Amino acid sequence: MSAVLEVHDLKAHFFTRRGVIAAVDGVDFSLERGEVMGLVGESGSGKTVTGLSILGLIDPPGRIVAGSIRLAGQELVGASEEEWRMIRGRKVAMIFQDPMMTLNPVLRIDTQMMEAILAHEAIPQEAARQRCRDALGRVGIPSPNERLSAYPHQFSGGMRQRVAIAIALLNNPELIIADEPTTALDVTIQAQIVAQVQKLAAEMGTAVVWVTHDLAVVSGLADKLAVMYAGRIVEEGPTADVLNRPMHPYTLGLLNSLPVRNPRGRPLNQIPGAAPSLLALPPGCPFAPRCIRAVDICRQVAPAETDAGNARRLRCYNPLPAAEAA
Amino acid sequence: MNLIEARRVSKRFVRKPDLAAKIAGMLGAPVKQAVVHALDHVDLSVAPGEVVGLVGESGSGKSTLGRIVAGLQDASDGEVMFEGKDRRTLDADARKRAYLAVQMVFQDPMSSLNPRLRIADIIGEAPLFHGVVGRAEARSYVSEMMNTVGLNPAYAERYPHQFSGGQRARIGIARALAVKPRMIVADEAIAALDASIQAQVINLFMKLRTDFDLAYLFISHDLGVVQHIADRVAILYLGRVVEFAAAEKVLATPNHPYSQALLANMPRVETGKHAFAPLEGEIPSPLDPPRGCHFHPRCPHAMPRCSEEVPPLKEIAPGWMSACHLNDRA
Amino acid sequence: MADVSIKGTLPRDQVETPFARFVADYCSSWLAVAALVVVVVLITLSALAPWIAPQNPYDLTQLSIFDNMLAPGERSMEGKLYLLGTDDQGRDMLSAMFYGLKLSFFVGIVSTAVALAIGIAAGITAAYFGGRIDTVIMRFVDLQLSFPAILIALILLALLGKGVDKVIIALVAVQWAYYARTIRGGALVERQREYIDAARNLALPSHRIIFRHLLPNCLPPLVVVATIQVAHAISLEATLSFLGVGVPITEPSLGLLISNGYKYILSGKYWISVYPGLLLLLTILAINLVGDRLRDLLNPRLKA
Repeated sequence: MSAVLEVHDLKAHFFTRRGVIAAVDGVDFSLERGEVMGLVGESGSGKTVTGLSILGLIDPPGRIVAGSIRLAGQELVGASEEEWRMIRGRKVAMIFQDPMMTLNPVLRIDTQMMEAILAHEAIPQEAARQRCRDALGRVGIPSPNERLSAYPHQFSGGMRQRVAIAIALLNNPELIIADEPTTALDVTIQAQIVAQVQKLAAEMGTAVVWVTHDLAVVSGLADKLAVMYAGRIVEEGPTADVLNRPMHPYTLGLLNSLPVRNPRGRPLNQIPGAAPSLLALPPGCPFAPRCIRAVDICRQVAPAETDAGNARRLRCYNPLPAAEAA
Repeated sequence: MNLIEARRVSKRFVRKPDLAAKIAGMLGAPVKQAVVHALDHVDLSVAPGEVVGLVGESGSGKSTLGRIVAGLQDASDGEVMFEGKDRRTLDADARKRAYLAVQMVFQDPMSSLNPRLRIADIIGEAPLFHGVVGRAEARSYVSEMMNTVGLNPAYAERYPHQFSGGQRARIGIARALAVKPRMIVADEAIAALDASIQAQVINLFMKLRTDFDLAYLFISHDLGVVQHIADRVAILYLGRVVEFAAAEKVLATPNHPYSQALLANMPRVETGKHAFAPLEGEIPSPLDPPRGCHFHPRCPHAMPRCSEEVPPLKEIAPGWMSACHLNDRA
Repeated sequence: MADVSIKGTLPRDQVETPFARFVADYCSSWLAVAALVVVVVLITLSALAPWIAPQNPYDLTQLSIFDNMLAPGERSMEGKLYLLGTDDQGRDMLSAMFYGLKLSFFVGIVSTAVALAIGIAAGITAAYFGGRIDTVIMRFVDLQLSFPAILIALILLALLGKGVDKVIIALVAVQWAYYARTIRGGALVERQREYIDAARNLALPSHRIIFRHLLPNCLPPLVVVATIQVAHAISLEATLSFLGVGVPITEPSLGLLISNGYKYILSGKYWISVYPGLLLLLTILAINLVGDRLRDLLNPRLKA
């Protein structure tokens, strides 16, 4: 099966007054039709920049310095602004944490949605309107016909996010990048949105990259997980595998620090220290200073990505044996 | 005796009609005062050294309750008792001590620190001002506080922007701790932190509790965290406590349908990929909450009675309070 | 957006005061640095005017009516060189411009400082206490701002008469309301921040919260407004003097110099008006460039 998205050795750097920040520093992954990938990391891990790179939304002082992004066979790195206009919204769409990033507060929902369709296709007004109505219905908005002529502020936070999802899906894109889309929402509303995205991805065959800091949210949603640390994917594999048998010490540390994995009232198993500055990365593996399993080589040369079998990939010299279940 | 006890506390936010609305009113248009019932007759108590978790979604009033307990806002109705006395009736000195005894730790580790003060001043200002320490010992007191929360005292001369998120959270905790409180109200104090840092700060909270015999009102939307550190848990929905009991009971066998739904919707790493069965419907606006039980429009067990009558918070087992009409059957 | 999350994780190893960071950011624009250099040079020149000007233009004994209207570069009968020529009184233009600039800066800076003090007091009082006090102060501000500044200044000067002190009073009267409004806006935003709650929670008294916590954090937008208002005050003073209601003829400011040369400009004696005009332009432009840079740095919305 051919991949919808192939990201190869992607590097996005920011050239600031203080120095070069290697926000994304050699990221590889691929996605197939209808596949959902959870891209998990802390702030500064490069997960958001990876998402923005795929949409060509890296602005100066940042730029993509190396690598390739192929979407349905088309190379995106180096695409002209003209080409991007045809790609964005039609082949790849984004859902932000704040739905007001996509919604214009002074325009009615139907105006915005029709614009999104008519920018890419010449179809009659009524057909476009029908498609908007269907899209709203599909994301679970009650009485879509009336809601079409409402303004964004007349929706609740959860409903606004549904509208943003509906807009993202309007042109049947091959890929959706969802950047923390439920982080600002309440638990019960988050569950609704996650359920909706899961259903739609399956129905429409859209591939989804779900960028989040929350392992728990993607654990029930994603087919596979990629864990990022300091600009690189340190561990990748099928969701259940990674969660049940983490091989990278960082993944294990994250899982073990969750309250549910610790006896009630006892100190949590914390990862010591804090994420390194991207301006002053230590030599070797960036996680080494916080790692309990670090050996000498870890502090000297950054580990390359290795195949760990069972569709799993890893950047670690001293991984946990796959048998050592958490 | 309880350290803090909120009795029938209500908080209403009234938006008075503005000039345009008043004129419209004079011309005969119906003008309604917008009243938000942020809290509706809430009872809550925290014993010395106890950790009470406060769980709820937006509009539940959990932050408002925290601010009232910390003395940052006044209740519209009802009273908050500190060691059995209404703080407002105390004389000026005792009142100040009562308010200092309850300190708050805020959500946003950046905006809760004054960007123009050095860490030494952020932590040391209040204890110095209130005479907790003398001017001569202020320096060493700040160092001691920084050590207590796991910060290097050598950084005392730095400014907040020079610290990472986790360190800023620790500064906020040190500032609260420096006036020797009996209780800390932590309002989503770890929500803005990275996953690997959250565990560190939770551990710090637990260590400080044993070291200083602190009580906490721990406000969070994260049931996992609350489950881990709280002795008792109160669950709020649209300004009312719907269930209040020992943490292991509420979070293992919740009684109220809303508690059950909340627990079922909590994302868990354990579950693996699965189909979701989310709770239907939206959280109603606190401007216009449903009649009767606020939860009835979303409740799978709603009966005709639920839309008529407000279910009172009743003891359904020793120390286990729940506000649901279903408990009257049986 | 992406940038923000990265910045948050950068620990730094030395104590870096917010001011040092600000200076470093300011210096990253060469145009702003150049403008600041120009402003500093102009202020220094004007402050040193009595010592570096070839002539004291106020001292009538140094003026000779026979030297009037000399073109730039001409020499007087005694052989004195007039680099920028002389005016109709025989005043050396270069000296007159130094002294005029000094007066312009003096008027601009003093009036801004006084207006700033009044504005801060009114604005922060309105914001912190709110309610009726807020309404009264801010309605007064609105009333004031609804009239053009030049009109209010003209009326005041018509009532008060000429004089440097009168001009300053008029400029203070038209400027304070801007500051009051700016600081009130800033204070209303800052008051919502959690560090103010934290200070209240620590039972610190109101005056301490206002002066130690609230006020210092409200100043940045005010610095921007004040900088640009200095330029505005200078040009307003020039306008008033040009119209003949500003400073007295014995103490020529830049505006008055322009006004003096105005009637000769069509007879080819351009230098009497043009050189003071260029200096005024340069001054105002440089101050505005500095102000723009400050606004870019201090306005959180413009930060990437």
